[in-house]
Amino acid sequence: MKQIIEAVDLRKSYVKGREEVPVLKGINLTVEEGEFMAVVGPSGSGKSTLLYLLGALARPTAGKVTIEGKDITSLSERELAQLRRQKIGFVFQRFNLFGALSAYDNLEILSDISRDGTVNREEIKELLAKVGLREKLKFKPRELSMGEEQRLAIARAVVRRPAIILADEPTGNLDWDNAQIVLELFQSLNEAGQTIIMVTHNPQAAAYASRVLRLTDGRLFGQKED
Amino acid sequence: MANLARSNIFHRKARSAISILAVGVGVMLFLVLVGMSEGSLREVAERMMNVDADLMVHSAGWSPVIDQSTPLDMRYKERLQGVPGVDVATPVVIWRLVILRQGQNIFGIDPEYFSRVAGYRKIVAGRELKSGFEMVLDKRLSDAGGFEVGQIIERMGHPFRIVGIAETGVPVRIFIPIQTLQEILHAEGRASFFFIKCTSAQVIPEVAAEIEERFKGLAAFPLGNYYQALSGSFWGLRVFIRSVTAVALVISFLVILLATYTSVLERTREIGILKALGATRAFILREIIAESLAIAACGVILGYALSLLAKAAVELKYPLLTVDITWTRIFLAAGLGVIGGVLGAIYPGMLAVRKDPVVALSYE
Repeated sequence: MKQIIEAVDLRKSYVKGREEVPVLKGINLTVEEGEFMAVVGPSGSGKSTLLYLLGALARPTAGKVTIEGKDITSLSERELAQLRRQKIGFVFQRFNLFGALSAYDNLEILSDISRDGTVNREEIKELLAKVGLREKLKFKPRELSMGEEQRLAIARAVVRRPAIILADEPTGNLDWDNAQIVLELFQSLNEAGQTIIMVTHNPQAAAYASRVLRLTDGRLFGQKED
Repeated sequence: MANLARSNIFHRKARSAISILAVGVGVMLFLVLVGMSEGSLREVAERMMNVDADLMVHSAGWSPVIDQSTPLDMRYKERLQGVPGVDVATPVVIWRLVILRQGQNIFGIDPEYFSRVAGYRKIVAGRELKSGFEMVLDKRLSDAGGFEVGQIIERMGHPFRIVGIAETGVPVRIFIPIQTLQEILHAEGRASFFFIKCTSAQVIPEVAAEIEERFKGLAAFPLGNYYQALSGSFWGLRVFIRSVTAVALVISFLVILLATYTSVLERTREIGILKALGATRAFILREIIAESLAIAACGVILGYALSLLAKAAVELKYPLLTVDITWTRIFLAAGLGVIGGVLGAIYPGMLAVRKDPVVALSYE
């Protein structure tokens, strides 16, 4: 399989007062195209930080991330934004939908942001139907259940057909029934060839992935070489 | 196209309403405060310029707005009439009394000559003054106070009968016979100033120069220049008006700035989401400015409406006050609202788009 993401000696520290607190202490990681990978670990272990670094939302203190062979750590703000538009789809624990927009508009706004014609009306409707929101196109997020909100967030993440989906505790706010629906949705996307990296502290959720890595004290375990 | 800016305005109704109200209050503050100051000054000046006389002659340094003294001898009347080019000179005693909670200048006039020289414009009810304790009011005052011809009102310790109502626009709102006012003030044989009617408009400058040359210590100036003279001599009022304008501008601007600033701060998390979705800084800034501009535009329109309401309320409560809302100031207020809105959005917007997206996403 083709390698889609590679992280080499990835480090990230945050400055807290006068102290520099290391969160990630040299992560080496490779993700292959079409892989469904889960990163598990306790709260505060740096799972979300790793996801943000892989998703070009944050810059590492040291080390390198490459996506489809391209080093993203040296890219400008504009190039990073373009990368996020074209290659990455995020799913967050708190959904992070636009409360002012309808379900349909939450997806359609991506066409305003992208301006490249990758999102069209029919595709949006098809996708919303696929995640069970066919009858709720005009509903605002507050009018949806939490499970529906997360399914809408997933639809938003995939509507531009990105190379990678990065999911940060996607089931963290859901009951298990809704969590299962979301995880099955990820599974079906993955079966269709979508690369997914999910971080979670829930082992049951991680079990849906084809590979599970453990992040502990800023270090990653479970790679093939470990 | 999903219009995030418009949707946000309708979604956060309370916040949008408060922001629009804040902008509206800023605009209203500016329009009403400045309009009240300028309007009152202009109205006084215009009424004085409606007088048909060509010149006002008074002691040098004496002001018809500030002073209510009677420094001139009535015998100046004959002397002034002896100046070549003078058709008629008529004395006036100016005094001040409170009516309808507002200080009003009153003119003591010589009924026979005043009408020839200065004119009432037009008596719309009753008749002109003759003598004794009689009063002519202007229509605005009689309407505001519900005064009628034949009514007796007590002022300065005497009962005055209203004998006539003059058309609005006369130099003062109350006229009484000069002799009556002189007696009340114990200023028999004295006058505050003279109105002069010249034989033709062409001779006005020469007559003014001749009077000042012949009677040292007297000043004669054309009534056509009254507004400038009033503004110039009333230096304190001009400074006050400018200060009010400046303060109103600053307060309005700050209110508008604060309203947009807080609305952008509230959207920090949304900005983080936009960044995660790959929006560029320019896109985000455009969205922020579009929303702020829409709020500012609504605020300006609300401000106009509030200004008209405030003008009506002020003029109802103080019917003799004039609030001038001019086109110049209306456009200035629109500029104030729009510039305040854009600047109020640009500064926090620039801060927001530079914010680390991870930090923005965790903003509560």
